Amino acid sequence: MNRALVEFGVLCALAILVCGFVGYARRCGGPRADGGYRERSLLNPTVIREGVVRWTTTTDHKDIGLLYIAFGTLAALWGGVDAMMLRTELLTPAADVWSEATYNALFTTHGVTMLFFFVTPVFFGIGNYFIPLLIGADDMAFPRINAIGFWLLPPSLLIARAGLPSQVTAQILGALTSGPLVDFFGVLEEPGIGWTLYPPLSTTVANPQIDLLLLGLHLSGIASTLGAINFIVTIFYERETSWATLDIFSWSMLTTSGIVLFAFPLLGSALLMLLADRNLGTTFYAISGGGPILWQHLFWFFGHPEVYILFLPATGLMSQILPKFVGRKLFGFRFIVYSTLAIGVLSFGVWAHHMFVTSMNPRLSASFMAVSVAIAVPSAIKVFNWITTIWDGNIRLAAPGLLCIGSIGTFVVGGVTGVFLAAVPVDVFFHGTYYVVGHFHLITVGIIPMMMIAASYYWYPLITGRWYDRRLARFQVGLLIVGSVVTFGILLVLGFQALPRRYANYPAEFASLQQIATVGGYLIGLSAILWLYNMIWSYWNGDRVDDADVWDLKATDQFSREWQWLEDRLDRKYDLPPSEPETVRPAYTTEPEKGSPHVLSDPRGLVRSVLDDTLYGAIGGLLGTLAMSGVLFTGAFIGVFDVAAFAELGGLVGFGDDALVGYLTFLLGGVTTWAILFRAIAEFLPGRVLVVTGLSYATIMSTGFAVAFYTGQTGLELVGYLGFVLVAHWLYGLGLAGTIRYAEYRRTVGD
Amino acid sequence: MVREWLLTYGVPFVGSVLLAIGIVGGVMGGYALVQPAIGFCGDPQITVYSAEDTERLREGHTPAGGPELDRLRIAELSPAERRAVRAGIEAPGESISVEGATPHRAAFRRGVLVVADGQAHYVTLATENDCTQVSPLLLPLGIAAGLLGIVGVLTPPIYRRYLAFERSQHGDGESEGG
Repeated sequence: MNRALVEFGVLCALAILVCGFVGYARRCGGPRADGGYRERSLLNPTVIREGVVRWTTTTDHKDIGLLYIAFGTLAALWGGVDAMMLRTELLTPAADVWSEATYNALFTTHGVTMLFFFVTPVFFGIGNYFIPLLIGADDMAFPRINAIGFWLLPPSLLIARAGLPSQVTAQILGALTSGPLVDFFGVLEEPGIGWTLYPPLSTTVANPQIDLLLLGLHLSGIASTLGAINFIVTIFYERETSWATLDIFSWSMLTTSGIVLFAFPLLGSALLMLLADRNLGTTFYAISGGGPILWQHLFWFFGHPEVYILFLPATGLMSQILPKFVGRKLFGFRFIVYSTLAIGVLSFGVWAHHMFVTSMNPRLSASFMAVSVAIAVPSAIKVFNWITTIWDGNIRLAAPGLLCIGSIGTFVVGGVTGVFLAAVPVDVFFHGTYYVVGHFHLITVGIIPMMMIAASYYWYPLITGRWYDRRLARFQVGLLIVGSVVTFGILLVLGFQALPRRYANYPAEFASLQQIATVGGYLIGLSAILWLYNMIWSYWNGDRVDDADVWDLKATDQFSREWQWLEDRLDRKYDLPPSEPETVRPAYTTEPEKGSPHVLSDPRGLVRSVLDDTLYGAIGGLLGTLAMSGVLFTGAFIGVFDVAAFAELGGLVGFGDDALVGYLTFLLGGVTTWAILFRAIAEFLPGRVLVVTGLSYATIMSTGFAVAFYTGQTGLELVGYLGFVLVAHWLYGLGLAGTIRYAEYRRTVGD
Repeated sequence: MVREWLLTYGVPFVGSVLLAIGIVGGVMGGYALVQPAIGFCGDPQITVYSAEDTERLREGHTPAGGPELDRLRIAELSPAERRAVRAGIEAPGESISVEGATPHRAAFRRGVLVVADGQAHYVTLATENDCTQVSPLLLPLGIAAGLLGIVGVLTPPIYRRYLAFERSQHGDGESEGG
């Protein structure tokens, strides 16, 4: 399949949907909280001009933070589409959806986009927004450098991923004309060399997009370094707090920035050498020169600290958010700070555990194994402290709290599998298998985006002044956690069976596991879309916040600086004095009906109601049975239901084996027997309202129907048969109960 | 409480799983239908290396070690293979479709030296480019599962609205909490 057009089309569709939804959500939103005028149209030229000028020239840390987060979200969607596409390829053992070359490009671009353009920018965005608030600073130390640091990122993403727009341009132009311009764009293809860019493959493949990728990564490295310098200086010189009272998230960002400062310049140097090898004939990584292994050493000396650049801010967010949802202060604060600093230092001493199978000296392997196992200790200190923080706490299962608890689980599995991989003999077996992919995804998905999302929910009221949809958020969180566990747990299982990673084709016996992993991957994709929906919709339509203590933090003395800032702002801007929050809890306390008050006093009414019940029951039964028939005949058309089963019904009641007679019998039963039975036993069935009772009734009935009308279906046919039978019965239940309820409604209105 | 959780989280979760399965079935089933029709599969693709790269690849494998590669003269190839090899010599390293009979597919799969104009070129199969093979039931069942999944995901708001209607019937003025 033409990957470029498909991916570009999906991205365009996503962009159009998001833009359209933004417009719709904005229009649905009421007037502003301060009683101001309704907002002007987004398409108004003045609005566009003002918006462009404001967002491109801002140096306010909050604005830049939001820009970082928006950019990271965009990159996440792009990298996520790559992920969905490569999981789609793996639905079948053969490479028959995309080609092998396309698959290689997909896992390369997925890795690069997610690591460099999604995670780091989003954490820098969260840091930009909140660190000045948390430490009491007016802004970042270097606001304009802060803006430059951000604005280097969009061009770096476009350069690094120019292969996709370039291919699309070439195909569109190629359809219209031909010539050097088409050839120029056609030459740039997304590289398929893995995100680790190992030579000799990366030095010998002629694709010029690889050069652009190297330049784009270098530019993103410069941007990250600028941001890191800014964080370090801000935390050192702009804080109002002492080191002893510095919050845990700021500590994490400080350590992360320190790692960035040492790691990214090295990546830049290594990338430039690779660029020189490719274009200038140098031999840094040639066998006759420095050797391909030199790249691995240089790359991983950056690459493993990069893992902690991604991971430490997530732990900072966990340590910041978790205590608020268990009603207890962070246990062992000082030791979590020490563990953060220890990880920062040790992260530079473990790089060669990625290279245990490169025939390096066994003594070296052993030393790197020791440090790799050792780095698990500070990580474990964090986990134990988190668990101890939860211990005996007053746990609130709001979305951020759920994410914290889920993340601890997935992170523990991801971490423990990492300890195994740190052991040389185990790694020799598992190196290059799906076990490694499962392990690092349980970290990179199991805690990093989960903590980003937790932060987005936790601070959403502060950023927007509105509540998000809390029910949808909890559901989205559950979906994300289940999707992650299923997908990456399956990858671990595949790794146990030694299936190599990065192959588009695989033996057929792994197909079932791969398919389950893909379904799990789609669940993660759906949860991401739901999160985006919630963020956009709630921005204009969420319940307004009228008190800064949205999480009841004052009750546990955890009302931290950023919330105090919000409280001051609400007071200043809307004259909302501090107040205690009301506890809002949905409660479905509908009193069940006590029966008809007319039964004893008015026999005529009773007779009338019985006749009505019979009539409406029959009509409901007829409607339900017809709806049911529609589903069953659709099933017959597809080939999962056999109409001949009706013939057996005809024979059973003595009318002969005729399908039409059997069907009419079935219709009659639906109108009379089953409808009357429902009226008789409805009050004993589950369901608070009659419609739900109808569904319960229909579900119970469907089991008998499934047995009676079974005609030997197997495999996918059987799955389809059972599904169609169940849905058909649900429609019957809805039709039957819905009609009867409508009749009661009419009667009530009449009364 | 249990019912509330079931309806708010359980049903849409099952719906989401069904939707994900529906996407799998719909995409794979639909793609299997259109893929051959629009010519996205069937023709294998080969990669032809330049004579210099071929020489470089063979260095170190002579006189001993390395695989023994078969040699084919370009004249021995079928017309479609010949066309593809010629195109590949013009664009070394790229994937070229073999549009027609490919009697030497096995040789290409293993890797073979094709001699053209006195120069040996290493030719190998880039991709088999097989057509997707799935059950014909996958598409309809995928669509059905997807539709049912959407209904499942939308169940909580629909149910809440219905419940509000029921409450209004009973004159219950409770408001929906968040």
